This record gives sequence, C-alpha cells and structure tokens, in this order.
Amino acid sequence: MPHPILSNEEAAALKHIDHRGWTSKVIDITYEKGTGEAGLRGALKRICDEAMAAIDAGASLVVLSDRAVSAERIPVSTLLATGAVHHHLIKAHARTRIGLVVETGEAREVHHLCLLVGYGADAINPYLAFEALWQARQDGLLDDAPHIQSDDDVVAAYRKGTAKGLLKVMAKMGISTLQSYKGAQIFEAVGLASSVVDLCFSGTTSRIEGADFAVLAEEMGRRHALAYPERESQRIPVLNNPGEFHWRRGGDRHMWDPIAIADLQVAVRSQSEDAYWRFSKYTNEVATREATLRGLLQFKPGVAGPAVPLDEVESEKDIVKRFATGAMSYGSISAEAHETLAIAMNRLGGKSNTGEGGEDPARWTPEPNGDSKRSAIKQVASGRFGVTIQYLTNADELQIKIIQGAKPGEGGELPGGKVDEIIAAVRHSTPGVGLISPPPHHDIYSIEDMAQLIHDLKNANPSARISVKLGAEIGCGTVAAGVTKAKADHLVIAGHDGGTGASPLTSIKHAGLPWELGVVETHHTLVMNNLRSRVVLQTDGQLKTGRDVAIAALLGAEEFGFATAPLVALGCIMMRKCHLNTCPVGVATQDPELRKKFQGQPEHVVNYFFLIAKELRQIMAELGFRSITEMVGRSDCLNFDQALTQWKAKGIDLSALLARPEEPEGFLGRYGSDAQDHELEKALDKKLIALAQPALDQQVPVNIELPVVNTNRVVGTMLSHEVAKRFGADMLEEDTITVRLTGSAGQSLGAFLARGITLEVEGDANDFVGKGLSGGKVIVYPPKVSPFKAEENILVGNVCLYGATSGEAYFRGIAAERFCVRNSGATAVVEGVGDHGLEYMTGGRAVILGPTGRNCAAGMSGGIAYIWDPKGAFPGNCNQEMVDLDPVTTDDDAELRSLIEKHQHYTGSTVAEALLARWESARSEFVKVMPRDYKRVLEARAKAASAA
Amino acid sequence: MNCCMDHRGGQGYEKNTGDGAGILTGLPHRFLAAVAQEELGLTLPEPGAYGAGLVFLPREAKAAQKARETLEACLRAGGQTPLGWRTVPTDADTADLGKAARAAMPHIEMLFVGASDGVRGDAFERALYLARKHATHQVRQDRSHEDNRLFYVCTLSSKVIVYKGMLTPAQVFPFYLDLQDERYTSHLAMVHSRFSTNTFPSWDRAQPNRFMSHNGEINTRRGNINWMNAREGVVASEAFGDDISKLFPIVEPDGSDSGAFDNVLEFMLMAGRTLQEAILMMIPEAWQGHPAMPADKRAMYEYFSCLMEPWDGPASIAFTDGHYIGAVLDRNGLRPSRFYITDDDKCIMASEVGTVIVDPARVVKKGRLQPGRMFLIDFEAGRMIPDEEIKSHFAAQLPYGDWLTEQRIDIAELSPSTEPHGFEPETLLPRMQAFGYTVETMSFMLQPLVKELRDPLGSMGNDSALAVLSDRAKPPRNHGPPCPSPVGAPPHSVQRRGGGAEAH
Repeated sequence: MPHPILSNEEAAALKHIDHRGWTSKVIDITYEKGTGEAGLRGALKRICDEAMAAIDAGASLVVLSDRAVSAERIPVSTLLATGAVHHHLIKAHARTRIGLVVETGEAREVHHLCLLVGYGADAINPYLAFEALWQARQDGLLDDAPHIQSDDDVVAAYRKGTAKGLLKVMAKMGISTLQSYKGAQIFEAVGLASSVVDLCFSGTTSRIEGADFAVLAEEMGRRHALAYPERESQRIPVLNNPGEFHWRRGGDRHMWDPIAIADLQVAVRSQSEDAYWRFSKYTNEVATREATLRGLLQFKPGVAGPAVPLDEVESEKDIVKRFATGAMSYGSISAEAHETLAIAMNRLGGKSNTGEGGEDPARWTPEPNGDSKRSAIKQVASGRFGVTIQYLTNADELQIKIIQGAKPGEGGELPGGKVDEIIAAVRHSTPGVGLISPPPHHDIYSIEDMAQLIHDLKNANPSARISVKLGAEIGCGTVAAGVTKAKADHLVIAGHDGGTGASPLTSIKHAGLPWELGVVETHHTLVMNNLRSRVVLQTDGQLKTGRDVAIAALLGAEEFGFATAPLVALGCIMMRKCHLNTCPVGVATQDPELRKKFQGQPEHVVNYFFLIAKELRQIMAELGFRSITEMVGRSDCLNFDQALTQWKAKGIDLSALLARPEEPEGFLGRYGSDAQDHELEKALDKKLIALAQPALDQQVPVNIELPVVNTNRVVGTMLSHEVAKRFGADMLEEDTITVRLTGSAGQSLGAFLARGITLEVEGDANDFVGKGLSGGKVIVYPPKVSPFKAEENILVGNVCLYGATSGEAYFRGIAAERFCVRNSGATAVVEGVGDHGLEYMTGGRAVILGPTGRNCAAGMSGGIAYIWDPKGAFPGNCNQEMVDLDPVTTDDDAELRSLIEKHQHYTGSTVAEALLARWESARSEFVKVMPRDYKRVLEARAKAASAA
Repeated sequence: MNCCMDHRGGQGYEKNTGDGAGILTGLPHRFLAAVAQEELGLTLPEPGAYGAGLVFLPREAKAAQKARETLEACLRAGGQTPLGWRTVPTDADTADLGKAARAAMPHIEMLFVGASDGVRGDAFERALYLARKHATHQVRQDRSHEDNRLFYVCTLSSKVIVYKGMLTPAQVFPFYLDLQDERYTSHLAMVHSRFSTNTFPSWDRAQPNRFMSHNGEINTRRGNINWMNAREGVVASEAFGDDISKLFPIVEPDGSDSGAFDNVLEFMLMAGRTLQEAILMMIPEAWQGHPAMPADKRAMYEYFSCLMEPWDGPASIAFTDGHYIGAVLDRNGLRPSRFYITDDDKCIMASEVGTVIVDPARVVKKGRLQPGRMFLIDFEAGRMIPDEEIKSHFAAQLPYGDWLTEQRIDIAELSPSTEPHGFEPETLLPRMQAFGYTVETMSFMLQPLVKELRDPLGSMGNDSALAVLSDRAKPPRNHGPPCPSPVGAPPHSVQRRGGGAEAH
C-alpha cells in the first residue's frame, strides 16, 4: 500500500479480498446499546477472540469495522479495539501473522491516525471523514479550494494532508519510516485506569490512573444517546459546538475566559487588589480545578511546621526575581510587546527571554531613564537566527530550546510577509523571504552533542548560566538527568498547555504533558541520582496565581515562567489570531496599524508579578515556610482531594505525584545550590587570551603558534567572548589575532569566532567547525607531509558553519554531512561535502570545488552557492524544491574567482590552482544554486533601484 | 583512544563514577593459556576449542554459587564442558572507583568452557549462546536473592572477549589488571564510553555489548521490541530446532536500547546470517525514493522491510565477531565516525580524529562513514571491503526481486468485488454525532486540512480542561497525548529524503 489511509474503494477491496491465497475477515466492533461496561468489555473480548480465530482460519487480514453503528449499536472506540487486538496478538505471538486494517468513523484528525498506527494499525479507512467532507463540498464549504473539484479530489487532498501530518509527527519523534512508527507507542496516557491500559495499551505509562471501562462506556453511551435519542423530539438537528478550541459561553471550560481576562486586566491597570483577588479566587477555585491536575491538590498546613508571621517570609521583591517571562520571539509578537516585557522584567530583577529571533543590539544600551530593553535570557534555538558572539556575550542566561512545550519537535515558520526590514536585520536574513526553523538543532543529535553545545555556550559567555528547555513528557526525568550530567546549570520543564503564537493544532491539543507530571518526574529522578543540587529547575505552562507557584515549588521547581498571563496583562484578549497577523490589540502582529493599538505598560506586568508574590507569601506563611528554597520538593505539604473531582475523574489517583523520593546517602541538596564544574580552566583559550593581550589591550596584531589535539575543544570561542566584550559590534580589524595550530583540532573549532581572529589549522578538525561564525576566519588544510590528495580525503567533520552569521572559512579537503546548514552570512570554500549540505541556508556564499552528497540545498531560501560540477552530477543530488540551478554569468565571475583565489592563497589548494589556470573554460563547469525566493526579492530590489 | 574522548562519556554526581566504559578484543589465547595454567592449573585446549568470557555474578556467595551452577548445567545440557572459573583480578582503589560504582559492582569471574568433540566454529558459538541465554533467563528471573539481577555474562565466545563496567575510560585499564599484562595481544580492539540517557548506568549496560558498540539513540525501541516479541511465535531456525524457545525473550528485559539491538543482532548472527547482513536488515539505507539505487539492491531492502522494521534513530554502530570488524551509520548520518588508514595497514576509526597520535606522513587515507553506508574489514582476507561490494554480494545472493514479484500483492491489483460503501447523506448527521464530530471538527480541523493540505494551525496554546477532568464525554484517545522525548529522540527535518509512509 502506498499510503496507510485507504479510500473506500481500497477498503472494500481488502474486505473482499480473495487473491493469490489472501483472504480477510471483517470484525464488527459495535456493541448493543444499554449494556454498559459489561457490553464494552464483552465486545473487546469478542473482537480479540474473533481476530485469533481469523488467524487460525488462515485469514491474512482482519478488518475492524464500526460501520454497523446504528440506533441499537454503539461503536467501541477504534483506538481501544485496535490496541486490544494488537496487544492480544503480540502476547499470543501471532501478531506478525496478520494485517490489521481499521474501518473507522471515529478517526479523522492526524493525531487520531497517529494513535492508531502507534498502537498497531496497518491501514486505516476513515470513511466518515470522507463523507463529512463530501457533504461539506456539497454545501459549498470547499469551493475556495481550487484543487478540490470532485469527491475523489477530497479523498486525495485528505490523504495528502494527513500524510504530511503523519510524517511530521514521526519526524518529531526522530523516526523516518511509518513501518518503524507502527506499534512504537510513543505516547503517555493521562487519566486512564490501569485496567484499560493493561488491556489496550500495554506498556504505556499512565501515572495518575483515571477513567476505567465504566467511565469510557458511560462516555460512549452519552455520545450515542446524543446521536440516537430515545424520542425524536430530543434530536438535535445540528452538530454541537463545545468550544474546545475557542472559548464560548456554556462550552468547554477554558482557563482564560472573559471573566478571568477582565479581572486580571483591571487588577494590573488600576492596581486594584480586589480585582486580583477575584481573578485569583476564580482561577484557583473554578478554572484551575476543573481543568488541571493541580486543581485537585490542597495545601496541608502544619506538616512543615507551624504558620510563620508574614513579615518573616521572603519579601515580594526577592520572590519576583525567580520569575521569568516566556520565550516569545520578536517577530511572533510585536516590538512594543517584546520590549515592554523586557523593561518590566529588568525593573523586577527577573528575566525576560528573547525567544528565537535574535535581538536588536540597540536594546543592549540602557534607556536614559535607567530602564533596559535587554532580554536577560538569550535563547538559542534550532534556527540560530541572530545568534552571534555579541548576542551570546550580552546575556545572563543562555537557553537552549530543545522543545517548546506546546509544539515539541517543531521549528517555527515566519512567513515572508512578516519579515520586514528590522526583523530581517535582527535575524540576519533577507526582508520578504520567509524563514523556516529546522525542527532539530543540527548540532544536537545525541546527549554528547548536547554536552558539547552547553560547553560551547559556556565558552562563549563564561558568566552566563546555561539553561536547557525540555518538555514535560514521559522520560523527561531521565533526559533531565542526562542534561544535568552534560552540565546544564538550569533546566526548564515546559508544560503542554502553555504556548503563544502559531502552532499546528495537533501539537496544541495533543503533544506533551501537564507540567505537574514533568516537574515531579524530573525532581524525583534528580534527587534519586543526587544530581538535584547541580541545577536550578524552572517550570512553566499556564501558571497564573500565587497558588500555582506554590504548588510548582512544592512539587520541585524553584523558578517560574509565565507567558500567556503577562501577555494578558499587556492586553491580550485570547482572540487566537497570532498565526494570522491580525491581533486586534497589537500584541502578536507586525501590522503597523494594529501595533498602534498596543496599550500595555511595563507597570502592568510589574503589578501582576507583585500581586502573585503577595498571594504566594500568604500561602508560604500559612504552610510555615520562610523562603522558596525551603519549599522545593515538599510535596508532603500537599494533599490530593478526591472530593474535588467530578464523575469522570473519580478514578484519578495523584498519590504517586505526592510521594517524596528517597534521598541517597551523602545527599547534596534539594535545590540548585552547587555550581557545575565546566572545566573552563582547561581550555586552550586561557593560553590564547594570555598570548593575545597586546591585541586585547591595544589592538596590536599578534601571531600565535601552538600544537592542538582533539581534547582542545571549542578553540577560539572564549577569546572571541573577550573581543566582543571589549570592542562591541565592530570587534577587531581582520587578522588582528592570528592563531596557527598544528594537529587535530577538537570539536567546535572556531565556534562563534569573532571578527579580527583568524584560526589556521594544519592537520584536520572534528565536528562543528565555525558554527555560529561571527566575523572570524577559519582556515584548515592537511599536513604538508600528507601523501594523499587533499580533495579526496575528509578534512573537517559534520555540521560545519551551522548558523554562521558572518566571516570566512576555507577548507582544503572534504567536509562531512550538513555543511553550512542555516548559514546566514558567512563565506565558505570547500572541496567536497556530504549529504544535506546548504540546508535551510538564508544568506552568505558557499563555493564547493568537488562532489556533494544527496539532498543538497533543501529548504535553502537565501544566499548563493557555486558548485564545480564538471561531470554534471550535481542536479541529481540537489533538492530543487526551493532553488534554481543557473549558469555562472559574467556578473558572478569576479566574486567566484576571487573566492577561489583566496582559497588557493590561504590553503595552497591544487584544485583551486588548476581551475584558475584555465579559468575561462573552468567557469562554465560551475553551477550556481539560486534560491527562487531570494532571486525574486533581489530582482524586485534591482527594479525598484533602477526606477528610483 | 577512549581517554581522548572522555568528554563524550557521562559521569554521575561523582567524577569517578562513569556511566560505563569497556573494551572488546579478540580472545587473547596466549594470555589466557598462561593465566589458566598459573592460577587454575588448567591446560586450555587449542584456540577455537574453548570459549571464555567475563561473568558478572551476585556478590552474595550462595547466590553466586547457584548462578555458576545454573550456567554450568545449561552448558552441560548442550554437551559443552565447563573447565573452570577464575577470579578476575581487579583494583578498584588504584582505578579510583567512585562510591556509586563500587556500590553497584558485581563479583567478577572468568569462565572457561571446552568444546565437545567435533563442535567448532559457529556451532560452538551457538551452543555457548544457547546456554548463556537459557541460564541468564533462569538466574535473573529468580527473585530469591536480589543480587541475582547482577548476573550478566559479558561475553562467552571462542572469538572475542569484553572487559567493561561502570567505569570512566581512564579507569578501564587500571581496574582490570588483565589488560595491563604484556602477554595480552589482539588483532583488533573496540572501545566505548557511555553517556546514559534513556536508562541509568549499571555494570551490565556498559558497552561494548557482545558484538557491537553503539553511539546514538534508537527511537523506535519500544516498537522494535514489541515486534520481536510478536515474531517469537513464528520464528524457526534449523540451527536451533526445538531449543529455540530457550532463547526467548530474545530481547533481554532491563537492557538499554543498544543492548536490545545487540540481542537481536546476535540472534540473527547465531541463526546463520553474518553480522553485516543482519545490520543491513536492521539499519537499511534510505532505499525508498532513491531511484538511482540498483534494482536488485532495492529489492533486497524491500524484501527485508517485510521481515523487519528499521531500528531507527541517530546511530553509529561498530560491530565485530573477530573475523569481520565493521561499522555503519544511520540513514541520515547523524553521528560522526572518522577513520585513518596508515601505510602499514593499520586502521583507526572513532567518533573523532586525533584520538590516537599518528605520524601524519604515514596516513594514506582519511575517510568517514557515510549515511547508510557500511565499512568492513575482513581479517581473514586481509582487506577492506567497499560498501558497494558488500551490498551487491548480498543482493545477488538470493532472488529477492523474484520473491517480491511472487509474494507481494499491490493494492492496485485488487478489484473491488462489490460496490464500496459510499456517501449516505441521510444518515450522516447522527453518525457524525455518535462519533463525536462537532462544528469545530469541521471548521478547525477537516476543512483546513483538505484546503491547505497540511495539519491546520492554531495559536495561544491549550487552556481547556484535561479530558479526564472535563465533564463532557470525550473519546478515549483524548486521554493520551503523544510524547516525544526530546534528547532521546531528536527530531528530523521533514525535508529530509528517505522517509517513507508506505504500509506493509
């Protein structure tokens, strides 16, 4: 089957297959109305038995079908039926003997299809989705889609859209083929009883128990009764609208409803404490209780000691220093909103976050009134937009965003229309050209890579703490332990329910876990491995009140992040239009007219955080805590209140959440109190900085010669930090500090290398050469005594020049995989590259004087590459989705030739020498890789210039 | 080499407790013969006629004795002769082992096993494998003493041997005195240091495993293990006959993802495939959407894909059985592996260059492993075998293309025998209601999906209630969100080639 989604014709063909010995058996997965839990359980047993019998009878396929649904028959959830059959057959060692096809009215969204495949379905026929869409087409609702002209087009479009969604979800999990995703069950259940998990989802984690078969049967029955009521008069003639995505009156509970938003905005604008107490009471007692796990918890005064007088509790001023605002990029939110948050957090002594879009250097200079727009936290995300040595140097905390709580594993996309002149400048890209963040960090594919990036960033700014942002999810504790051993100073566990800005709905609704679960797992794992004292733990995800903060602390966090709430304080009214650029209050838009409507003031955010601290202090006093650090991990001061749950949640058990972990012998501490040893004193750069003093003090050129070995990692970066710190944006004149090294350089040679520094290596180098290159120059060539041909041998490793923003690199030899990924401004010459070269490049120049691997230039939206391709092999290796392959013209001649001349000059390349010797004929053997978007913008600019 | 890559391994809260490190070498006959004579008064048979290996035993003496007896009994049942147990000399103090490593340390002995008459080579390896698996299941499942979970046979082979533990790279040689003995020589060595992410450090999870070392992550581990378990009902092997059930579960519980991979690799090796063929099956290169690939190679991969799903994730895997040593990278080339070849035919391969100092004038080739490509040295033939040669050899060995033509049914071949169910608008509404469709299902999800041909976008996160806390009726799927693991499963770029949505 070319696609796991079957058309009705294909499904029918499989149901009636009798071909070359293949037969199939259709199993009805509906059960009789009114039979309740027993009916449901009986149906599941019958379905499993029938599947076994089908195998024994020699069938090759079973088709689980809910087409028999009627006024008398309730469908078993396809997911329950599929999981039950899959696991039943695995236990019987019979699963590989049969194909499992699902004919389902239930599955329709990408997430549903993922779950079915993840729990073992081989193919799915979502017939009701097709019918619903055919009806929509008849009703004219699809008329604006030109590719849909018939019912078959609907099916084709559905298959195309879901395939893309499935591949994206798989890719998020790091899985390349559907075959490997099938049955991989990379899910955690939130709120399912073990009885259900054991039967249908065996092996899936479900830590808080929850709905059992009785509840599920009740839910199925209620839904069925809605569709097939007892009396015709009860029939509802339309679909209902529960307001699951957007709040509506009488619909699903949303924590941010108009009452909460209004109270909070009144509270912060008019400094009305009353309004805040209304907001907090409503949020704590109604909204949070009905929507979150922490809503089911209660404080247990007296456990930690008697109540203490309020004036003995840590002050509001100190508490708010533990608060941070979320990583929202300038680009996703407006300059006004972004800067207001920064000013507010700097006034508080808390921290605001750049998000992933870089930061305008003008913001690093304080305002005349003493305010500062500088974000204390500089985020380092996969796109590396604007991540230069100055950006890293001007930070108190560097945050590696592994995932965003609300959309784990996905990179952002900024459409071309949102990329104006200023945003483009900050991101080092071209105005008008859309930007794609790659889903992964190309320099982190394993924990050792993570350790390396942490080390790189620590070298780029030794005084900043290095933070790693993880999502709350199953296994995050183990990962957090790994990241702590990789020497992160700070961890963020992001809950699933946060999230601002645009994101696929599948991710918004179905990815990640509540932070309560993530924080507990992380804190416990770190305590049990005696690693807890080495990191500061922060959490975020719909934190809104002092009560929320208190619970987060008691569960194990000591710092707290807020994103949605401060935006609401600044005027956000949850219109959920961020992805449309039509935000009516000027928060999440770049539209100059709409931005004028922005009313937020730093005071609003300041007021809000002080009110939270005020509420928090009262709770602390009542529980007997004088400081936040005393509270961390004191889950014994919480109580799970079963009485707070409604019918469906009766099965929930949060006791596992509240159990305190055993502290090992020689326990070092329950919160981040010990510094990590980053071993910076071992760095070769300590020597380089000492030897470069004349340049650092008086800008006098220096030449340094040293041997290098692979344990000398990230050479040149701490030196670059010194240059950026002392000389600001201009840094130093080219070649002021020249370092000549001999040997095999360690990883991250010349990472974030500053302008004015030249690193020359005779030997070879490992991964990540010149990542984040910031104006410096890196030259690598093989030892002069080497007997081999340089252009046929590997010289530098993977992911060289990833995220480079400016500077030059010359490599006499072949670079391994993923060369120049997300280069936005550096110039590079190399004699061959591996797979995925030039991926997502947005600027700069690359000259490749040799063969390339597969998938070159995928996602490339800017800059130019010249490939020497005498044999015509390149087009077959180039991903031409976004680029044109053009001939080199006389206009390009000077640029290309001078780069090759430099390469020859710096590295002694014989390839360059031979090409230059016959330049006129050689030039025609080059292919110019030109991104189409970039070409369009350049042409428009040229046209505008000539018109002017 | 390993000490120069210390920064790639992990340590616990103490600097002197490593996540795990070790070394695999060929069986050092000269050394073993000497120590067996000196320490046990035992004269070992000629190479190939005996096997040896390190065994991690319970610390408690009685439990250790019971474990020894179980393993011996399993060996005897297969006709092989336990020759003796030797206490492996170790020095935890000089090696400066941390408290955590000491607390978790098993009792370490070496076992010698003599081959029965006429049983040599692969047959002997299989007998050792069967006994080891059977004994391991019995001892580790025996809950009568908690130390039993320490029981672990590092290797038991006539060809290779592994020394490993919860060590840092620098501790391996000082800890295991055997490794410092000048009589200990080998034609190959494979070293590894571990940085544990998905499971916690322990002595047995250290690497090298029995036949391989792994740098990377296996993101599909849960599914792979489920499918291996499912296959236990249908696997058959002439080599094992009825004994095959003694091998189950093929994947040992409580192992790491690398350990699970090694278990399956070993199973296929013992059942008669070569390591390299088994690797092609488990980590195929990206053959889907690769029109330039020769037809017979594609057919081989497609046929293999019907037998086993790929073990997917970033991986550099080095493997050896003493005869061959090789390595392979995942289809996307997400881990580094670099090698030098010198003019005196030495080959040095590691995650980094520069880990062993070599005179640059003697290096005649500097290469790297490439995505999906295999690197292989045949010690008997004394040469490196190029990737193309390995794969065309296996592709030509069996008529995979013919088998596919005969056995594969394309869904397009089928003609519907009856009218398919189509569009029934008159009953549509209640059915949609019964399956929980809402206005939002249509307007936010399905209509945008077919119009934009992708998963629709929204914004400002999710502030609605968890399904179990909502008092509305929600389908069971809403109780279980998917959970990608961040470092454990680094996402890929969707724009990468090589992904495939074909269903089999």
